[in-house]
Amino acid sequence: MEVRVLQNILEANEQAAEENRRRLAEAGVAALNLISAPGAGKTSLLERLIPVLSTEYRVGVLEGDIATTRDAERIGALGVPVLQLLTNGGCHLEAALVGRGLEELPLAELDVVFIENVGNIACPAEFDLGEAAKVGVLSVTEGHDKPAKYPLLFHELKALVLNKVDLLDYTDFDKDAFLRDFRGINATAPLFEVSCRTGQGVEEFARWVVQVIVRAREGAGATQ
Amino acid sequence: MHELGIAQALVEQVQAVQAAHGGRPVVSVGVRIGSWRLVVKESLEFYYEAITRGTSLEGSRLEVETVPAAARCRQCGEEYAVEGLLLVCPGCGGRGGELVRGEELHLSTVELAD
Repeated sequence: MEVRVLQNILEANEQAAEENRRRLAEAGVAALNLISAPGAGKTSLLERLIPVLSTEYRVGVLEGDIATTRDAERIGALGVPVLQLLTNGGCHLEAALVGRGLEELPLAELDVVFIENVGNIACPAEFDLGEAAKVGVLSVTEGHDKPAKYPLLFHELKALVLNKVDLLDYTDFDKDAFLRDFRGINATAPLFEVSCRTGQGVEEFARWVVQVIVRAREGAGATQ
Repeated sequence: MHELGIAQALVEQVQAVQAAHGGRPVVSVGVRIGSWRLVVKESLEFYYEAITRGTSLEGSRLEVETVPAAARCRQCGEEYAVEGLLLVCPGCGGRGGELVRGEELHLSTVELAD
């Protein structure tokens, strides 16, 4: 006899992600899932972004890595609540581990949580963490063909930071080719040209983050 | 990727269905995997067979159906089959459509012995 099921095989992660989403919504906190290849500049972006945001908004960070607490230490130096999540070999964060991290953060006293995923441009796209938005960081030194090569990730992004633009003259990064492929996969995510080195573009990106924070707050207000 | 973890989650779900139907032997398991998912069919079949040996699912056949990707055009609203990996509408040329099929990772059927 044939039994029809229709069940998401990764249902366990989906349920944990929904629980995270619920807990964040209750506290009126926006969570952003920061995804990129290793070394594209996720932590550097946070180091630039957090001082700008912190004048008006309360920031918390969950750092995801396979090993070391180096990234959490860098963020800790900025004086915001941060937790290092270690995956013990896992190449991407999953919702259950993020959930345990959210339990330790003072959510009632935060406006936004950045979840810095494990450096990996392929796997994280497949695992919902309960975030409001996935934000990608692509550095110009990685090449302009990455959106075409990793369509699942680039399709899911709600914003893309193009980092290290101060190095454009030293690379063969073709901005037109990149935009053509990126917009062929994702018509709506805003693109921010940034250099964490010089600070270029950080304020514009911060303004987009603020919109996400405000929407999350309004959402919490609506449920009260 | 992650086919072992996916196979393990799948085995748990199938065993739950088996238990709900009197513990009958499972003949085959149907899964639907969207073509945009990063799951290698052969790896999943390999792990499924390996981890079901010696369990109540031993001998059950994994049948993977690949779901072709389809998108809806943001400009003209038409639905179209996705050729390659860019989302370009064959009708109006609109770029960056919204993926409506191709991201599935579902257990769809369990065939139990009569």
